[in-house]
Amino acid sequence: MRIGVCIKGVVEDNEGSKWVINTFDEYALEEAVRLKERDEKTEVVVITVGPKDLREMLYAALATKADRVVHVVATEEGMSGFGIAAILKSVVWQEEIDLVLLGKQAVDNASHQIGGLLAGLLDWPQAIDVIELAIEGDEATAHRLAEGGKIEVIRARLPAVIGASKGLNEPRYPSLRGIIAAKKKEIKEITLEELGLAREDLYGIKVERVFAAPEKGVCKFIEGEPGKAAAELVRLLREEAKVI
Amino acid sequence: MNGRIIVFLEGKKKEGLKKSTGALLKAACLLSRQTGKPVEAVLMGEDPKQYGEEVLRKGLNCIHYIKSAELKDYDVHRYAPAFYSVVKDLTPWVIMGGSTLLGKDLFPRIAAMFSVPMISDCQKITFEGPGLKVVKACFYGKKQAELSFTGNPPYIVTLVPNSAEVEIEGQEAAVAEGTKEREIEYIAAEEPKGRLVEIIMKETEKQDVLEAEAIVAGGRALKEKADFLLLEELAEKLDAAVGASRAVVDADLASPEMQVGQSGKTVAPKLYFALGISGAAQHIAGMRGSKVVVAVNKDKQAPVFNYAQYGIVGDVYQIVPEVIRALTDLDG
Ligand SMILES: Cc1cc2nc3c(=O)[nH]c(=O)nc-3n(C[C@H](O)[C@H](O)[C@H](O)COP(=O)(O)OP(=O)(O)OC[C@H]3O[C@@H](n4cnc5c(N)ncnc54)[C@H](O)[C@@H]3O)c2cc1C
Repeated sequence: MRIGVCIKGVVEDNEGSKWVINTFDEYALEEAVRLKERDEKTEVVVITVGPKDLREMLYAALATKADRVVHVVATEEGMSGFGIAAILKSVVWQEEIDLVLLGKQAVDNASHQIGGLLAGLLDWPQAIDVIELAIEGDEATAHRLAEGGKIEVIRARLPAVIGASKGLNEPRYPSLRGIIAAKKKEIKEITLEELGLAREDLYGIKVERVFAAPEKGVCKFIEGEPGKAAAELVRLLREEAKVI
Repeated sequence: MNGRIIVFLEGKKKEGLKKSTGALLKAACLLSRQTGKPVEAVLMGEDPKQYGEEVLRKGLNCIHYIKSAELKDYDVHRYAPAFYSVVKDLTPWVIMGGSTLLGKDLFPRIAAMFSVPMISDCQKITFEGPGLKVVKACFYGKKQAELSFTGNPPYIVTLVPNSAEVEIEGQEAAVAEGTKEREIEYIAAEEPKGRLVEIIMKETEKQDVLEAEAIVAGGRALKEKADFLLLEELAEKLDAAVGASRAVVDADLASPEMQVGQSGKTVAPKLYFALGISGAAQHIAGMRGSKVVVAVNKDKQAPVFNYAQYGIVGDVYQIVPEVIRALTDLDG
């Protein structure tokens, strides 16, 4: 079996800091590695779409037992989720992937789109927001988190797309040996042209402007002993904020 | 310009339409008034007509009921093809739904079937000139982006439930000289390759933080699982859902679906109580869109106060029972 793990590079909080693997994709990667540990014949291919300077993050991904990387070099800037999914689809075809694992959403924009879009474009079954996964032969059984803590059990014939959620596993830290081995593994860079994709097809959405989220203003501290403060809070929520 | 505004509506068995459909219908009707395009609702399920009367009161142009025993429980492998098979023939201009857990799962697949991009978690939808403009949060909620569609319709969008900004002026009802109703018996063209085989229920069904209008969230100040009962009591008074920081989820005091934040859920309720939560960037990222935030923390320097309108410096174990009491007095 060949597993494709789609990872997204995100910049942590403060601007200018380095690229790291999107948290939810780490769960996907760990799950793929665990499947490989159960079956030696499994190959784990990490797939990413992003700018050229993702090397450090990609070595971190390879420091696990992942086998190699396919890096589609393209700036995501202004590209729609649909565009990303279309690129991933091409790579999945090209690499003859049997199972796609990815995070349920990216931590930076929380769009929660790529898994469903990719599954739809491939016409593969999907389970997104998965906290438990079992693969038996060519059948996947996934537990996904639904409303109010309900769990939906999805059974799918492979190939399929699985979107990892927190709770699927606990990603381990890479070992020193893994970090050294990573440098010897293959990172294949490809361009959109090589995939036969035209840039225009990948947009469809224009960013008009980006601005700071509105500030909350200054916090009004309510003083006094607990009973009084609580009563005043309730009064303010009712009369001033009008939310209760 | 022809094309229709299609709104996917979710119901909740006994309770009728989900609360989040209110803002959705308002946004759809506003678009309809601005563009003259009709608003048509799509309801799906084993008995979608059970919500019919409620939807009829909204004064839409048409309601499509997609009915099938196979649609009894939500399963993307059945819902997406059923929705697509009906809506593709309606010349959709905009397709919108709530960014509920169901919406988050369903709409990307629908977008793929229509082969168009979508924008999720919109906080605002406006019609400007020939196109559609939306505002959504990005970069860990620290920023917002204004986006527009540049390609051909349908334009697929999901709206953040209860987003403070989704409050749109005006009544829900649009044009409506009588609403048309259409029933479609859906038969799947082919057996899907994936399917829902079981639903594991929780002992008690709780409100989900994603859709609640108010959230009472607890952090590391809480020492035991049982302490969350206090939060539940407060939540009941406010008709709120109970949320949690990652610290308490990791400590197994709260369950994963309750987690708010960067690696949990992104929420935007009207009222958010942060109780004994320090306000780490990763937590704030998930609740920054809340309209009114109340923070209770014994440390006056806790960053959470920078994101709150109202703050009480104190012990949650002392303050929360008093807030419950004050709310009870209000009831009485
Ligand atoms: C990649 C990544 C993703 C993350 N994702 C998330 C996420 O999704 N959600 C999330 O919440 N966190 C997330 N975190 C963790 C985050 O950084 C914080 O560690 C976490 O939010 C802290 O939770 P807390 O505020 O409950 O605990 P603490 O930071 O320990 O704060 C506890 C607060 O309670 C106050 N307190 C203690 N006792 C009392 C009392 N009796 N009465 C009143 N106040 C009291 C203290 O003064 C303190 O401010 C993430 C971290 C990383 C690295």
